[in-house]
Amino acid sequence: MNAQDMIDYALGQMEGPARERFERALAADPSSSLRVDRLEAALVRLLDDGERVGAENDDYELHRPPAGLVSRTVGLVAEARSKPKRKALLDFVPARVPFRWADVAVAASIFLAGVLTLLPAMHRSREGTDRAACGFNLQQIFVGLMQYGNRYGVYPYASAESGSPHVGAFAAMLHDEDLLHDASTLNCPCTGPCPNAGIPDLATLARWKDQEPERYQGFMDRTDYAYNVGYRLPTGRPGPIPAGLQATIPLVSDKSPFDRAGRILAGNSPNHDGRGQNVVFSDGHVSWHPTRRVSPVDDDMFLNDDDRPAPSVHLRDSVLVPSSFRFDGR
Amino acid sequence: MMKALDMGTEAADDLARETDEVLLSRYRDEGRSADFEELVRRYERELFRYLVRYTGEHSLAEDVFQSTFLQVHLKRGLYEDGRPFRPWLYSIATHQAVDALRKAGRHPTLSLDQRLSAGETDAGALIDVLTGDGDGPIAELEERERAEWVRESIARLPDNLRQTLILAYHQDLKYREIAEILKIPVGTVKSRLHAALSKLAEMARASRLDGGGDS
Repeated sequence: MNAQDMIDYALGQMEGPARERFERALAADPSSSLRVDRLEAALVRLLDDGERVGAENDDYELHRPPAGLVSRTVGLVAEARSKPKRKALLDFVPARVPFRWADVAVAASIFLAGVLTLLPAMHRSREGTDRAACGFNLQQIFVGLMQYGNRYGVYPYASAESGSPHVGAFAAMLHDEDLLHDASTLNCPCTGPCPNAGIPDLATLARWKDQEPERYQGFMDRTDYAYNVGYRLPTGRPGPIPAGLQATIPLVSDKSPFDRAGRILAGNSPNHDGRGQNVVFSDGHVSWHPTRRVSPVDDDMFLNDDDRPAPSVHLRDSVLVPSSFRFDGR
Repeated sequence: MMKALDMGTEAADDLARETDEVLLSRYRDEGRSADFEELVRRYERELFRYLVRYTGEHSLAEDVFQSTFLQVHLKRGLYEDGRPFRPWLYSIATHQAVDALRKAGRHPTLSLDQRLSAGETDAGALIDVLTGDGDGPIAELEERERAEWVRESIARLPDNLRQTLILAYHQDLKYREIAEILKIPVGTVKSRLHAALSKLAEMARASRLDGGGDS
């Protein structure tokens, strides 16, 4: 028989069927029964303080409650009930609020105010991401230009004799050299997605110019970046930029605003809603320019010193023109 | 007049028939003071006796009794339907008593998870200790002297052991109810009981050595 069960039984902790089972087992086991009897007697000797047994006997009730305890307790609680309760913050909140359109209007206006406050921040965040992606495109193009320059000593330049004398041909020339494959590199993320029509080779581009002028124009229009149009040689002929120049010059940027008549308009690039433009330089760094000024000696990267979108008159006067403009400035 | 008296008796009978849980739920929802008074009346003797045993003082027990029922009134909103009222009441009363003892500067600074030796938790050894001395030295005392010895010895027990012993033996609460009141596992309740009984047996033997059994 379990000793813990004996203690539980003697302390009155055993109930119901368990108690009945235990009592049956005790009846069948005289030695255990004797042990439990002794245990019960020992517990009474050690624990009975005269109150538990015969507790209702008033003659021997040491712990009798004082007279009037109930009425005093009830009175104390009644007093607490009658006292005005100190208001807590939540007490000012009504338990049930009737439905009112005014509440809906207030909630809607708070929600709207929140949205209006957050929207510009979200817009700025998205714009920052797109601007960084635009800079990454320029770096990709720069890598191609640098390798082209290493091979030929000059940056890509398509003369009138090439069959495709427009600035956008620089991408086809990089493609021909296996230096540029992805047409999305020519698309600034800030202008939205652009159908990926691929980059043609220079010969195809020349063929398009003669046979499919709309397709040719479409490729030029899809290119979001402006490219350095070169400079006019001392002989008067326009020519490419040498690749090994000491000076740092801008090579590619977001395209300038222009019209169909071939005029460069005032203001910053439309790619970034007129807020500025990314520019990649010949040393490979990309920077953001909130104006068209790129150096102390070059106030306008989109026009030459003669205020024309044509080859510069000296190497410090860089001119970056949209893809649909010609290299020779005509 | 007789009719009014009859109605009053009927209402009292109705209250007497309701369970503690129904009375408290109704008091919480409807605020009928008769329900609350019935609860105070039902637990007057039992709870007061527990508090006198635990605090060791009648005046302190009376204060704690009143503050316990004041807390029952204040916390009635927290009472969940179906929860047994008795352990809930003892839980509040025990907390109030501990607070009162602490304020009176009489609270023993004992760790609640006081380690118990292996001998104190072994049930078989405990039975041997309790029954080993036959009738034992305290059996030789007069009944009133023995009861006095029991009260003094229990008062000298560490606080957590005394609490558990009074609830289990004198107040007839079950292990699981004590566990709920003291927020301890049932196993800890048992081990504390073993420890309390073991210490009392030790005190009984010590009283014989001191010559207590001769008086």
